[in-house]
Amino acid sequence: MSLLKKATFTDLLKGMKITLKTMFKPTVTVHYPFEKVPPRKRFRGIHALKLNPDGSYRCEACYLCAEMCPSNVIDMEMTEGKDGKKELVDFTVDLTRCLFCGLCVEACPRDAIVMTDIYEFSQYSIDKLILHKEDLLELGRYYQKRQRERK
Amino acid sequence: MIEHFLSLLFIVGLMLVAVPPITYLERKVLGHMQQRSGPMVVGPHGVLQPIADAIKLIFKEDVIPRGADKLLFVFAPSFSVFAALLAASVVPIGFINAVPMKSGLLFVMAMSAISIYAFFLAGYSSNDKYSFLAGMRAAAQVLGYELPMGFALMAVVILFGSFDFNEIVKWQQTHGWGIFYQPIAFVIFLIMMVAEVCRPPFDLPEGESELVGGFHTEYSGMRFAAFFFGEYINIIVLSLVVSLLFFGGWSGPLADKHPVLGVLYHLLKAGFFIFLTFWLRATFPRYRFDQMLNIMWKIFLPLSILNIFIAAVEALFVG
Repeated sequence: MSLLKKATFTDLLKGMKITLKTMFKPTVTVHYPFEKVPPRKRFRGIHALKLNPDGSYRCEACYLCAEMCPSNVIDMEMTEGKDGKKELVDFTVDLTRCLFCGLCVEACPRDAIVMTDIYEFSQYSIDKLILHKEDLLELGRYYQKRQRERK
Repeated sequence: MIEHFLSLLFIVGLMLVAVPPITYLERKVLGHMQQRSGPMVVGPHGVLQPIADAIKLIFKEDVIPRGADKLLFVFAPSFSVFAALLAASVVPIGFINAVPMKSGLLFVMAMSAISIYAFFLAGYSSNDKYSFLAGMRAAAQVLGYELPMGFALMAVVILFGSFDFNEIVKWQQTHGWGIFYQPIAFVIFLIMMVAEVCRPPFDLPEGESELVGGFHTEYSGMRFAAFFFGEYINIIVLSLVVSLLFFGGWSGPLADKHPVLGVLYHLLKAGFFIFLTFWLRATFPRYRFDQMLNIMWKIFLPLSILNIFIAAVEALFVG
């Protein structure tokens, strides 16, 4: 029986039938730069600093995120403000080292640092991968807009 | 004389012009068989992709590795194209017959057999162990497939009583297609043809996953492209030959009155076999080397010798 199968190429023809059938099926390709797969709801992209409704940032410079970070990504500079509160001078996120684990987001007591759904952030220059306070606040505005859109 | 020259121009032109669209179609067919869409970016549905490839290959740096045998290294890729075009020149397509030759079939077989030298010389001259292994494989493969192929063709020739392609088609026009008389020879010839042009599942000399790139590891630019020109021209030529030997070539309805229709029939029949090579490539994994030699020597060789007796009996009754 197996000899007959071999002689008539049954198995080989079966395989060829499958490939021929597949040829007329629609393709599953996502043509990436032209089409994009929307990221999932909890996707961890690059960081952002959330803002209050009045436009001030929520971060209180408690350093918890910087402490929590396993790869030493986050660094911040602060001074004492006029009302005695801590005030951020700069908040840097070094994306060249970040592994997007999300521990900083979990650590934050004020829900100030969050992760956006942006995954395309390649740059020609390495300096541009170090995000500063203004960049992060800009991303924060984008993040809050996205959140509103999703609701 | 002028007629022959024009036919030759047509055939050589056809072979050279047909290769880029065939590479495009191959990538498309292969893609769709794997539920991908193949080239899509250059031009509508990627139709200009072969042109983009050609431009890229022309402008690529041409590297000759240190320690390579320069003469053979330069000679090998051109040899591939040259042998394939020589084979193409004697194959008639309908009424277009560039070099009418009494022993046309023999000549085609000889030319496609020596095209393996291109692979071997490339492997030998590259001064690279992977290329060398690929060259050795090519040389061993030629011993594997050439014998069953030759015997399969011998059976066919006994039946048709001629090596001349025109005579073979004439015989089939009166008696019916060759495949009805010689199905075994057809299957053997088809499989050996795939092995001859080093296409999957018999692409051992260029097994990317095992030998980096096979015999063309060290080649770049137009020399690299020349190998593929040769390979694809070989595919076209052998597809034309298969449809000549087993499917009546240019015979078909109304082909007697309108010779152009005959050319079309012949090209369509050959087109199916070209598609078949893509189809096989999309379906089957590569044979292991010992498996390939086993089926060639232990199964197809005895079978093809047996088939000669069948052909002889048929020739007694039909011929």
